[in-house]
Amino acid sequence: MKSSSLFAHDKPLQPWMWAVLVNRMQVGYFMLILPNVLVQPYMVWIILLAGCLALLNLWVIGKGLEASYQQHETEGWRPFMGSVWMRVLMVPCLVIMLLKLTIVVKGYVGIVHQILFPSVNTGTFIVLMMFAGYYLAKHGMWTVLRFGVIAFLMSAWILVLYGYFLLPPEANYSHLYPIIPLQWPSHWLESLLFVWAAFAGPEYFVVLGPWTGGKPLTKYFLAGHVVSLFEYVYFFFVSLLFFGSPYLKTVDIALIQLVRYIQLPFFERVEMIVVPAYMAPVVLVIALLMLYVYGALRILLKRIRKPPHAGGLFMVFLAVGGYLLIVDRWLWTSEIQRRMWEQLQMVVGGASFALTPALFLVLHAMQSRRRKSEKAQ
Amino acid sequence: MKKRSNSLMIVPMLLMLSGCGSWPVKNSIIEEISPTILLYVDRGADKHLEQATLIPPLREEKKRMITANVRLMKEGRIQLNQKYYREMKSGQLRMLFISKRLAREDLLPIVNTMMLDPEISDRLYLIVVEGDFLAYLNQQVEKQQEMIDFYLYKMLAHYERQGEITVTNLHRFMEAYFSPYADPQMPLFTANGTDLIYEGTALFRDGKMVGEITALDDTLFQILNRPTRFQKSLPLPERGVTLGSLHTETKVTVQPTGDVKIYIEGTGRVEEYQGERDLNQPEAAQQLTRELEAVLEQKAALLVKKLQQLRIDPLRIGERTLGPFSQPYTEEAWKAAWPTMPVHVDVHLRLESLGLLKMKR
Repeated sequence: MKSSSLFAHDKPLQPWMWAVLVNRMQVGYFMLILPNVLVQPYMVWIILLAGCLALLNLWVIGKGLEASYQQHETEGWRPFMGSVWMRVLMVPCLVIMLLKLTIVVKGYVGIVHQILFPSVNTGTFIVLMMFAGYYLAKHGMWTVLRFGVIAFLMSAWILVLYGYFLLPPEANYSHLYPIIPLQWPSHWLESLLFVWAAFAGPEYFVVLGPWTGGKPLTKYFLAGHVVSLFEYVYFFFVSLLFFGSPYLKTVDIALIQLVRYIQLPFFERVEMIVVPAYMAPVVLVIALLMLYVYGALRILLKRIRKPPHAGGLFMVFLAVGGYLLIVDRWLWTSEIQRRMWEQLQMVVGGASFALTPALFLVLHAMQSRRRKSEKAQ
Repeated sequence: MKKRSNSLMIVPMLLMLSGCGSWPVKNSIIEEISPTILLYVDRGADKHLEQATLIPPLREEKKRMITANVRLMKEGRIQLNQKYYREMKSGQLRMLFISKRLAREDLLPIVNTMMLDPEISDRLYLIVVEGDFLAYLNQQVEKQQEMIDFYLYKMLAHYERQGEITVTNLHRFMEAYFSPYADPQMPLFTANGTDLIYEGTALFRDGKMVGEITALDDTLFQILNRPTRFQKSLPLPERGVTLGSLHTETKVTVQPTGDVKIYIEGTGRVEEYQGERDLNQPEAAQQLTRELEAVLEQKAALLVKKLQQLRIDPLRIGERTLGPFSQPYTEEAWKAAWPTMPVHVDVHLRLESLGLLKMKR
C-alpha cells in the first residue's frame, strides 16, 4: 500500500457502516463506568433525556454533513486548510483529541491491569495498544473506518452475555423501585453532563465528508445513536438489577464485575474473553484519532501540500505514545487523578460535542464568503 | 517500503518492552502452583486469625492440611505459601468456611478482603461452621477421602441450583448487606469428628451473626424465602405426617396499614401417615388438612416473630413495600417499623392421594 493513500477517499463507505461507526464511537470507557456514576434507578430518565438531546445534535451534524458535501463544486474543509484561522483552530482540536485518547487508552488499560494482568505494569499495555493502533492507522482512513464493522462484531455480542442477568434469581426487580425520583435529585446536572459526554464521539465525523460519497447519512447516524442509547439503558438496568443502588455505589466497574460472575458450564473466566473483546473499539478510536492528530499537525505545521506518509504518522505515534506513558507514570496514578481526568473529559468532550453544529455554521459562512469572492473575480 | 516500516516498528517496540523492565509476568504454570479450593478461617487466641487449607488440590501427591496463624487475612496467604513448596493461588478458591466464633464478630473486613482480590470470584461460597472443622478435614484426609474439598464444592453447587438448603456466595452476601431492605444469611454446618452436618441458616445483622434457624424451621424458612419452591418432603413429626412433592407459592404483601400478610399455597401429597385418622373418609382427610394448615401457620408466624425480635429481615419483606412510584418506608423507617409489624400467615394446602393410604386397624 502506498503511503500517500493514508487519506485516500476515492471509494466512499457504505451508508450502513456509518451507523455502526457512530455506535462504536459512543460506547467507550464512559459507558463502562456509567452505572457507577448514575447509581439511582430514576437516573434512567437522565440517560433518556441526554440521549434525546444527543439525537437532536446528531441530526444537526448529519444534516450539516449532507449540506456541506452534497454539492460537488465545494469540497468541504479542503479549500480552507491553509488559512491562519484554520491553523489556530487546530490547537484546541489537538488538545481535545489528546484528552479523548488519554481517557480511552488509559481507561481501558487500567481495566486490563486491574482484572487480567495485575502483575504487568500499565505502560506495557499502552505501548501495545498504540502499536495496534498504528498498525491499523497505517492502512489509511478508509480501512480504519471499515474496521468499525469488525469492532462492532467483536464487541456487540457481549450484550447477549449480559442477558443472563435479566432473569431471577440473579435479577431482583425491586432494585428498580422507585423509578421516579421522590425528591429532587441532587446530582442531576452533573449526571446529565456525564451522559452527554458519554454520547460524544460522532462529532469527529464532521471532517469525514469526502468518505460519505455525498450520500444522505442522517438516518444512519440516528440509527447508530438509538442503538447506543438502548445499550446504555440496558447496561444500566442490568447492573442495577444485579447490585441494587447502595451496593452499586461501592463497586468499582460494575459491568466488568458482572461479567466475572458469569460461569459457563464449559468455561468459567469469561472476562478473559470479554475484556480483550472491548479492545477492538478502543483500537478503532486510537487509529482514527491518531490519523486526526496527524492531519491536524500537518495543517498546523503547514505541511498540507505535501503528501502524507507513514513515517510521519509513525513519528506522531511515537510522540503521543510518549505522552501517554508520561500520563501513565505521573499524571494518572491515583483515584483522585482518575476522577480529575474523567471530569475534564466530561466537560471538554461534552462541550466539543455540543459545539460541533456551530462548526458547520462557520464552514457555511466561509464557503459563502469564498463563493462571493470567486464571483467578484 | 512496507517491509521496512514493519521492521522499523518492531525494533523500538522490543527496546521499549525490555527497557521498561515490565515483562516479568507472574507465571502460573499449573505444575508449579497450587490453586486452593477451600479456605477456613477461625478466630484464635490473642485476636489472631487461624487459617487452614487443603493441599494439594490435585491428586498425585499426598493430601494434607496446612494452617497459618496471623493478624490479617492476606497475611495468612503468605504464611501458607511459605509452608509449602508450591505457590498458592486463589483463582480457584470456591469456598470460605468461617467459624461460628468468628461469624459472631464483624465479618465484613474478612468478606471485603475477598471482594477486593480480583483473582477471587464473587461466586465464592460462604459457609459458617460450628465445631472442630479442622479435625473433620484431618479425618477426611486420613480416611483417604482426598477429594473432599471438591466434593464439598459439588454439594454446594448442587444445592444452589436445587434450592433445598441455604447457599450463599460473596455477591449475594454483599448485596443483602448493602440493601436497605434485606439482611444476609449463610448456611450453617456443624462439624464433628466424622461428619459435616447441615444445621440450617445463620442469620446476620450488619455483618454479625445474630441467630440461626435450624431443623424443620429451616425448611419453612426456605419456603418463605422464595416465591415458588419445590420441596421434596416436609416431615411434621408431631402430627405423624410427611408431606411430599410439595410445591409452594408464597406471596408476601405489606398492607398500607402496616400489616404483613403472608399467603402460602401448597400442593403436594401425603407420603407418610402414622396418625389415628382414617384418611379414606373425606371428612377426616379434610380435617387433617385443616390441622396441618394450622400447624404450618403457627410455625411460620413464630419464625417471622423470631426474625422480628432479632430486628432482621432476611426474607426481604421490606422490598415488598416498594412500588414503581412509591417508597412508603425509607431505610430508617423500615428498620424502626419492622420489628413491631403485625404478621398474618395464611396457609392453604391442597393434598392429593389422601385416599390411597389405606390404613387397616
